Amino acid sequence: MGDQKGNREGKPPFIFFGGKGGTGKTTCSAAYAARLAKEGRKTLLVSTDPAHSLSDIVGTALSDKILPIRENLWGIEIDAAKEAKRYIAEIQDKMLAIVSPAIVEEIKRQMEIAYLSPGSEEAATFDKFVELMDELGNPYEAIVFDTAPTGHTLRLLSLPEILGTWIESLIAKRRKSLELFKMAGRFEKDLMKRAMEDPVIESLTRRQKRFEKSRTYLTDPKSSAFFFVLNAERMPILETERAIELLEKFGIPIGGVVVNRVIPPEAGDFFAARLAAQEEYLQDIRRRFGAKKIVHLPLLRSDVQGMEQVDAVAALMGDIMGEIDEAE
Amino acid sequence: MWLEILKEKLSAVWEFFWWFLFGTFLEKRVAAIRKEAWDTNDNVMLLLFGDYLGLPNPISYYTLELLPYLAEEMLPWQRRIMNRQSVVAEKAAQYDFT
Repeated sequence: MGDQKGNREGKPPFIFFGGKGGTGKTTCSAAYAARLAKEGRKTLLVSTDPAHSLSDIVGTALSDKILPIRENLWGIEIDAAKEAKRYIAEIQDKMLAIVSPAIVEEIKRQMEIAYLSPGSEEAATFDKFVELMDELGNPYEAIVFDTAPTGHTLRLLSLPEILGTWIESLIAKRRKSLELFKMAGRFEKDLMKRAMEDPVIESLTRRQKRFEKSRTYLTDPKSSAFFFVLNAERMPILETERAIELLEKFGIPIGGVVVNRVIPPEAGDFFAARLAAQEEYLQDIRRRFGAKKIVHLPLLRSDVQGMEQVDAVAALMGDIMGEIDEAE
Repeated sequence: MWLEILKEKLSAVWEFFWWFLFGTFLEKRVAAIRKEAWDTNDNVMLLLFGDYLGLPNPISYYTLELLPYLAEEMLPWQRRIMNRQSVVAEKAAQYDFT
């Protein structure tokens, strides 16, 4: 694990931004990444949002390969569907090498089912996450993840917890079955052979180790921090609260909440009523999330586009982010 | 020459006796274990690939990578598990009532 290298100044090297769609996660993660890059940390900005708005915001066409954005800053847009497809193609190739083509043909339908199953893209994204996290230290010193909308993200991050126990019991069961085969195979060579070499346990154990590793990455406050981006409105507040509860249950450290699109007092008469309502919501946010860092970002004149505007947002986050970092 | 022929004959006799003894004394005991082994194996298959039968599996994406090793077992397993008529009869078959 490279977290010694990435952990300069005590800042966790893995930063996650999450929240409901359209709250400005991507902008916040871009701004934070830009700030880290300015400080001289080699930073990788990762987008998992299927809508892929990152390219527009940083003004560089990004793809599923890591591309430079500016000095000390790189970006990548993970394409979950493509990752899943690649994974399945790899398995198909392996299968052709091991079993007869007739069986492969019969089993293709099953592979289709797995590909279409609801968890497959999440799992593919998660795999890519861990792959990128392993890259820490060569050369990236920090990785900023712009994650997909809330429910999706939560499932994603709770994966290692749930799957770890599942795999553990699977391995135990398989072991037991092999034990029995060994006993039964004392007089039968075929069965014995079956029991001696088992690529299944090997493969499951490798998976289990990977989950364990990602879990240590995710739950160590020295290596990860999760920020929620929300707007000062009722629904996002409730949803964020629920999300934070869940992540804390899984032991994932929460860095703080970013309240985006706060209407500034100088907005004018038109916003007067909204301003009053907002004040109420901001108080609500302080009440609910008071124990955590809270950052306010004002509503801007236009959408953030291009690195100059990202830098402007980074400046607005500026010392507030510093405060969060001290708290880590 | 004759030594080799004798050797062959002897080993054929030995093999006959071995299978005779195996069938008479050992087979039934081993069969019970073998049955148990296959049953446990079927259960493992169910945990791994239950989603093909309609049972939700949280790691179906990851069990997919085991498919190359288990592909050959897959179809017989599916046939077995879909054709289960009576669990009681299946269990009872393991015991020797005669």
